[in-house]
Amino acid sequence: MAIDGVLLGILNNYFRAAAEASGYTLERTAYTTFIKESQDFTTGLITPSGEHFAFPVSIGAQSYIGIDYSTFIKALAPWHEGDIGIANCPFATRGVSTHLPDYHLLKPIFAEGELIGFAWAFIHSSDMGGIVAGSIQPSAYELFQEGIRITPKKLYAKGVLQEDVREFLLSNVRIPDKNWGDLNAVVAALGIADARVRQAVVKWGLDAVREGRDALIGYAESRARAVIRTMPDSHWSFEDYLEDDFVSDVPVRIKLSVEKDGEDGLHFDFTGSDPQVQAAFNLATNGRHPFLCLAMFGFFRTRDPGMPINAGLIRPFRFTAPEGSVVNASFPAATGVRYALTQLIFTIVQGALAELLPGTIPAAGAGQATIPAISTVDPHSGQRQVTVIQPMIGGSGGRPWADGVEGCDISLGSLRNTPCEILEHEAGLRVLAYEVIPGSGGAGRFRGGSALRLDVRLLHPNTIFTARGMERTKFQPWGLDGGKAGAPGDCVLNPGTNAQKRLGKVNVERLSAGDVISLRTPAGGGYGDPLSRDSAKVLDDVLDGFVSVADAEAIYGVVLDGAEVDEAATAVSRARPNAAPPASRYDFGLGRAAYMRQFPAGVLDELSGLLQALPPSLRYRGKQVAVAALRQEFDTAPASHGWLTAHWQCIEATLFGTAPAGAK
Amino acid sequence: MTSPQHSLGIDIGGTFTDLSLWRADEERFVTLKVPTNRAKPALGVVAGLERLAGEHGIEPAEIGYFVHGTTIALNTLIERDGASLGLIVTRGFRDLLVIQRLRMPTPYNWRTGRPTPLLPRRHVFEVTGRLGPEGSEETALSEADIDAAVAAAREAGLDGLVVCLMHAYGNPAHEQRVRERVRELAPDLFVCCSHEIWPRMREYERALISIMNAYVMPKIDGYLGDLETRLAGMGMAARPFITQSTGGIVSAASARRNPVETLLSGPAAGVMGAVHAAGLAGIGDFITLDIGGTSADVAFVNGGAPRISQSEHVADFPLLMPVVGVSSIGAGGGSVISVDEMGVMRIGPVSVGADPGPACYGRGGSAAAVTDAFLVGGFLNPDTFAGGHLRLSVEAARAALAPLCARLGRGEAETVEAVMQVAASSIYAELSNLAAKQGVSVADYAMLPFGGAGPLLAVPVADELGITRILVPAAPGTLCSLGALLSDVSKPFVRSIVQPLASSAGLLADAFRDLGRQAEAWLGSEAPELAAQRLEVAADMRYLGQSYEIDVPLEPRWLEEGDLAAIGDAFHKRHRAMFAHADEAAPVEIVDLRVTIIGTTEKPAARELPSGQATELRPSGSRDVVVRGAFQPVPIYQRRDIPVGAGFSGPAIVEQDDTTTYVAPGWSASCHASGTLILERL
Repeated sequence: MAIDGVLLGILNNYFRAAAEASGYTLERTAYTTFIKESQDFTTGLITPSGEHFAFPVSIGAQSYIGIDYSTFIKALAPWHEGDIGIANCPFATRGVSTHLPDYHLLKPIFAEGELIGFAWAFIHSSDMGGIVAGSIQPSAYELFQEGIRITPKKLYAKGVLQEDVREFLLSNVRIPDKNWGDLNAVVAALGIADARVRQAVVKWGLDAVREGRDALIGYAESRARAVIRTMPDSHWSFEDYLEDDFVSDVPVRIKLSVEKDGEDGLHFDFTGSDPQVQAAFNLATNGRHPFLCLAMFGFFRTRDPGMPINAGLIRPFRFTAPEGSVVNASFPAATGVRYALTQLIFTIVQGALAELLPGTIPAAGAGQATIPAISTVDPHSGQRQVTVIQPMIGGSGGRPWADGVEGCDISLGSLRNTPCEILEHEAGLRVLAYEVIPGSGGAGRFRGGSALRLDVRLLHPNTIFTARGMERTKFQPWGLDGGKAGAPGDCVLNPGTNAQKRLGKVNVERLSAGDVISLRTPAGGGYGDPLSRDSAKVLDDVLDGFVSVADAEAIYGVVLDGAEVDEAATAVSRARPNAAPPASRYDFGLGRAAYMRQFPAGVLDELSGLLQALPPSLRYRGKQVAVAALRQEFDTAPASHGWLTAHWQCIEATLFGTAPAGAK
Repeated sequence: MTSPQHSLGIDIGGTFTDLSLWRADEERFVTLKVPTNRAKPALGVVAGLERLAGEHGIEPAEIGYFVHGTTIALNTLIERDGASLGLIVTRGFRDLLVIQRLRMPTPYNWRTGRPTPLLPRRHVFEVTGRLGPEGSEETALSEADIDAAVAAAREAGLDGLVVCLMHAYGNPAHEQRVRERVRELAPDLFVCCSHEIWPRMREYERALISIMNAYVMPKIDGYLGDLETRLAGMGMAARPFITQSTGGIVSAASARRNPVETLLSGPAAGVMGAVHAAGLAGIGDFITLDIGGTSADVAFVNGGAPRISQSEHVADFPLLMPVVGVSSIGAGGGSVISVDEMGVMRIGPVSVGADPGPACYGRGGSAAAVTDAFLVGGFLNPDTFAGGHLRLSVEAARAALAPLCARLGRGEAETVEAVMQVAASSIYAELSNLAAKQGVSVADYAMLPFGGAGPLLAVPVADELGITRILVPAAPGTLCSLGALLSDVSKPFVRSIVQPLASSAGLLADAFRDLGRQAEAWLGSEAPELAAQRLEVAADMRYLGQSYEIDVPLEPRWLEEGDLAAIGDAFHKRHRAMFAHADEAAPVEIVDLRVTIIGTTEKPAARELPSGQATELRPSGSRDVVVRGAFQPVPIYQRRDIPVGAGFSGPAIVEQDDTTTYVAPGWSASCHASGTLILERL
């Protein structure tokens, strides 16, 4: 390497500052509130071959590190000074954009006539057209319903705005002025990054910048590999589920096997994951994507906090993600709600890591974000107004060194709530309670973070309530190493009254003035044996109202005498013989345990293998038919391995409509 | 004994207590430093006064005006040794302090978490009773709940209660009733109500400000009581004024009621001192760069006014009230230098702290800190560091640096050069982010460095930023006490409005009149002797539907005359200046109105220093200093020897008791008539 470590460190400061200044400019000049509040945008610098070499740390979304831009770049070659490329299609960009509301833009950076990289930014637009305002509808079954699809185009060519592209784009969205305002902010941000990199060339020279750009990726890669080298050379697999796919009640299974790939690489194999669904939950990853290993980036940074953030982090990974599966969906799959699966994969990677590195990984957190919203009609203007109430997440998992965080999961920690006073000003509701749910966090040596509860009374006679993104209402966040599963989420109408009604997973409810809707999130799983929890912590939890006196004794074996621990009685209580050592390191809770009894992993693997023989477009339907057949044959008893293979012809016959009436 | 005539500013820092005294008889400033007594801070003040008497013949009785800065409130928060408190909230909001704003400091990092609240959940008490967003009562307040809360607080042996009820910013009735009842039942419990401390919408932040206020109150109260007794005992006639986070000052009595407003007063006073020093040199737009032992802090000053921020943090908690915006952006002199396996150098985040300090302090520290590199590089004089109070060991510094040189495969000079570049580039990175956030170009600003290492790194940092002018004030080590001495008496008053601008004319006029009366009454009792006073008005405004407000300065007459068009116009202009766009057709909402009263204090008359002859300027010596990666002999000047009007070019080192200035090649230095050293890029 011609440039040394000192200059590399300095260039890292420069490039990161260029990416961050670009991000702050975007945030500052963005038009829609959503961008400023949710930070659903990012900026960065990309090599001519399409890898990130600088990524902002202090601003923007962090989940896009290591996306491959080569397809997008090649699609618009040759690039000229003053060009700006734009795209939002997940398939035409091979996984750059992950759903249509995200605009991605690239601006080439030239120095001394050489293309030395690209300034990049993306923003989540509040509307991209399509079936519903906001463009995201869980029941969408193909991409075309989710908005205008922009394959790579030049929005600016040699500095000239391409009016026809702009016109075509804006005439297909609901809020053209706001979209254009936001795009202008992106253009300003790209300009900042471009200028900063060219300044670095003036200061340090073209050779140093070119070499530094490439060396920085190598540097991050080597630090990531150094962490991987410390991981044991073993193999483990882990699976988890979306509880359903919104359009049917059949859970969606994701299976991950992890093994070392050489001494400092990792192979992530998603073979056995379900076929892509006919709803908006699919991931368009092109088979290699940060969404498949996000938890690992968190893990690297937990181990090595100074690690630079760029494409080097994804280089040590080899992925196997079968085409046509829900983790590598084929065109034209709907992908609007892709974050639900991204969250689930985060938890799955966590589960696999827990097996590889016992004693260092937390139990599962809530792993979901429910976005409750009410829509009311203004009696005077007749206009419909939609208000998001609060992001409802739920606690993080107990950690081998500390309790989970109350009410919020680590992977969703960038979401902020709305002050209830502001909410009451803006929406027709009263907040009756916004609080943690005592006793909800999974018990453990380190307790899971508590669930949150939000009770609101509606004030408008004609209110539509939706709660998008609810998960973990049946399959609880798992506990680890003796820790218990966290409480499941729920939704209840008019709690504590005669009109009380359990809604469970909410889709759309039409409600009236005076109705009280009570949303309860899941809670984090516990870590470690509750009987080994420090009795002083149990006492604190009781005094603070997180755990009841009865649970302190029944679950934690801690006997209290007023505001003191009765040490002698506690010692006796904790010495009780353990009924049966847990069969697994994971406590999945009752709902999932029952499902796994009914559909053993071997049967689901068998099904997965059988589906592979079908054309990709029929696999989803094939799975639905097969699950229905299993349910009919076995009811709630365990399905037996081999039955599906034996009856596959029947299932195919049903699928193709060639089965005689009345046959299975 | 003569009549009181001198003015004194004191700042209690973590290590030193600084004094700036204006000698009215000689029309000059006297500055000195005494060690801070961390256990009994008032003793440091007493020691300083005794030195003033002993060394300068100035008795406490001759001091007629006294301004005092203190970090006691801040330290109480950082060290978490404040009052035991209970919190009374509206039923359903027991977890206000647990949930906070939900967000976590570092998403995706499994070690992340929110700061631990200042009081535990068991001490949060719910009361039934509800106001609506317009302030109307929807459910009556439950007396039984209040009684139960008081009984529980008594049982827990708490010192005080904080009351934060929903929508109390708009209608204080329920909070007032709670306080009344607590006083009836438990007169020994002190009570802080959120509507009194800072009545703005946003229940968590309002509760937090009230809690912080109550949390530090007993300590501040005890300290100021102790100080006043001691000062009276020494014969001081002047009542002390206390510096505020806004850069203004208030009476000790006011500070004892609202100590939360002193939390960030230390850095604010430093910026006020900088404003004064730069103003004498005719500079209004500049960035302060304060590099001390553990951090580098910066503030932006525009047109002679510090940037006021309403989104600062203190001890990891948000502080949603106006303060001078000072941002911590990186490493200080005590930050540790490290080099990893790939030869990449990092400075910080680990710091050697004050004890053992850098290796060159000779107190057993072996890690190489930035100060060690400065010493090895010849920038610091080992014999006169910190006024000669601390003799530095070059040998220890070289020994600490040696492993880094070996790792880098570089000589000492090249290693020191690398430290300078890495330090400057990381400050550049953070400062350029701040500039991008505000939408300003740093190259348009001058830089005013202070603190032990600010003037040393100022030129390398300025070079990175394209800044071409640097002002080193005459006494950069005592800028905080100077700032305290020169600040005006002021206090902001706020009222929540939350109305579309179009329908708020009457409301605004009433609020302005009430706040103005309140402010004038306050100043009347605070400092009746101040003749000159003015009101500054600002509003937090937004487009209807936006979730954040911007701070818009307004003309008082717009409110008096109900000129809503002018107010709207000011908002659109401000929005455009901050965010590069505005929508004149969109409806605007006014969230709250702020009136700040300012009572102008008498300032010591600035006197120009006599101009000297350029020929009088001679270096006091020369030593080998790292310039562009190699040692070369560089002239050393003593700051006190540089006459007004005299100038020289870099490379050069300027030494003075409280700092060292490095003038790099390509820069010139000259002494301004006000005593400020002005560095300019050639």
